[in-house]
Amino acid sequence: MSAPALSIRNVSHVFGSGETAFTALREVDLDVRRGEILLLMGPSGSGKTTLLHILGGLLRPTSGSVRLNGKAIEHLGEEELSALRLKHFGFILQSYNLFPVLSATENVLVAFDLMRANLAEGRVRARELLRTVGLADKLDAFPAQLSGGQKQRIAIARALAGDPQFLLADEPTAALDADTGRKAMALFARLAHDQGRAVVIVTHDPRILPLADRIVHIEDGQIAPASDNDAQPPVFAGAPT
Amino acid sequence: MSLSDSQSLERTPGRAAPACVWRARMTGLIAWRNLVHDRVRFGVTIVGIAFATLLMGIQLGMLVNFMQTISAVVDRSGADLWIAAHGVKTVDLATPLEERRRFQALSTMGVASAEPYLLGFGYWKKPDGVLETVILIGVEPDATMGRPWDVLDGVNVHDALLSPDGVIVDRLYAAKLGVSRVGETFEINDRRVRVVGFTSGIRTFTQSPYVFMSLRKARSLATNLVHGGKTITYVPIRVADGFSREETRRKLAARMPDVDVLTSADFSGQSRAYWLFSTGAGVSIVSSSLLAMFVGVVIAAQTLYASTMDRLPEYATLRAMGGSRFYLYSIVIQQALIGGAIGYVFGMSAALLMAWAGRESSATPEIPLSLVLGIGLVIEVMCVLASLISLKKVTSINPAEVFR
Ligand SMILES: Nc1ncnc2c1ncn2[C@@H]1O[C@H](COP(=O)(O)OP(=O)(O)OP(=O)(O)O)[C@@H](O)[C@H]1O
Ligand SMILES: [Mg+2]
Repeated sequence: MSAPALSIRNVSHVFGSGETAFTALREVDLDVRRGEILLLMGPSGSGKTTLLHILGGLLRPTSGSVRLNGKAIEHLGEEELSALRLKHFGFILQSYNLFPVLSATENVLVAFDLMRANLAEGRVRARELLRTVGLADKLDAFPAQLSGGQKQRIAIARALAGDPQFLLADEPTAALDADTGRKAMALFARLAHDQGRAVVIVTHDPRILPLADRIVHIEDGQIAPASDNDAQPPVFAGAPT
Repeated sequence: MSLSDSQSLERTPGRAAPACVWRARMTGLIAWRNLVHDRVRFGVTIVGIAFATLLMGIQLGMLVNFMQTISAVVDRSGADLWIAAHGVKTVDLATPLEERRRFQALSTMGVASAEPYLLGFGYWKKPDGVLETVILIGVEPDATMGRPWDVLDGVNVHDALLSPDGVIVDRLYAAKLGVSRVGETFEINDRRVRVVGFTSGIRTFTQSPYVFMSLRKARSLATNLVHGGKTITYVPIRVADGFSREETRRKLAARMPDVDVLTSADFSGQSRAYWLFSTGAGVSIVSSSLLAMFVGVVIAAQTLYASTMDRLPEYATLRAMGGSRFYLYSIVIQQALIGGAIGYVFGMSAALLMAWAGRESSATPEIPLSLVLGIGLVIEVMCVLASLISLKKVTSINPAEVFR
């Protein structure tokens, strides 16, 4: 397995200050490697989303270090972090937040626009991505005309638009039925195992477990002591070992 | 391994695209769709901006009209300098001046010509016996300055002023004076006058029409001004080639310290300032224009802010995806600019239409191209200012907060 592309050391995060201070993460160490699907699991409120945000440069930790490809990023400013996210990360967040005024294709196209891509090519690619997530017949539909699962799939397509090295997903299959959920997972597996991306998924969905290369449990802002989950061998059929 | 490591990124078409691709493609689309998405809000925005534009156009158009009207007889006189009785406030409120001032002027270096000019009030009696106050302007028939301009139907001013009792009035006031055609006779101050020609578009600020006539006729009518039959009110002067106006003005003023010697520009400006600022008319026009603009800005700011608030989660998503602050700004600002432009087009069209419809009336907004463009610029700048509060909101977006 390759060197960690993303690693955090001794990361703590405190929300608020004074009497209302709440420690959401406590001295967490975690490595994310290319080519693996890493699951973050744990009870509600345990700090999974907070950890994902810190991994993706959406949130600066109160203390500790975050290294992306060996470079510390925890001290970068808003705009630098933003540029970094554009270059390296794809997010599928808990709320999809699609532009209601843009069609499915246009919502994905925005990602290409952010990258200053050629929009004609971007449009072709956006449609390809939407077909990949099973929305071939909804390319020009607006979010209001779509189901929750369909919207979630647009969000997935949008996250993949940048061909990110790191795909960070917060409950990406929550709104999907068994079949589309499985397809989405197969897509994530392809990204990790065939294309060498790092995929980090926060989930409660037991259907995903078989695809995971590694599972990290979080409880009360801390990584639960290494369990047998951690050593679980990749189950994904055909995954490179 | 470096931050710029980009293994297998080459397959993304976008990253290889040339930098010259226009940046605002999607932002413009998002701005437009955001703007029209909520029909009611869109309508309110457009109506607000359109009304602000319309009001500004009409108000400032009236101001332009007033300014042009007030000083028209000075501006269109062809004179470089004016001698007036000491303390003159505005051209229409003339006080008597001795005619010898003209001869004094003529004997001053740099003066090419100096002519007598009389302006006074009179009462015009209509056929039905009703009296109208008019402003009499008397010049010599062969005057080169201060003659009526824009005379209709090829009437020769010289001959018209020479003809017995001949007067020239403006078409705009024909109805007011009860005139229907050339040749009709009326009375001013109980003496006979005969309409021998019409001008077109010479308005008066006071709405008392100008009546042009010969100096001799004016003297016989303006009884209130006459002492000894040698009275005039102004001496318009043309400065000889090669002499400076200001220099000549100073020479004349030094020679005649007990009268006012003004350049046409100063006389014109002083006349405008008198009506517009000492009477408060100008202040009220300017302040109501500012108010209209302010109301437009507040409406635009309000609707834009509401629409920005509606989109905060989406803006936060753009931010999470790596959009720069500038990307978000450009959406909000374009939304403001597009809304402003649409409202402006409606408002300005209405203002121009109203000005056009009133072109035959004696007081109609005058909206020159510079005003059309100026108001457009002001509206767009105001719309950008109106978006500042929304920009501040967008700046403070923290995606991690929004997606908790
Ligand atoms: N901005 C904030 N201010 C204060 N407390 C916060 C803030 N964000 C998160 N928290 C707290 O931090 C803890 C961790 O939150 P987090 O969103 O990471 O949980 P989670 O594991 O993702 O939960 P869930 O599975 O319900 O999404 C929670 O107790 C939450 O109340
Ligand atoms: Mg969460």
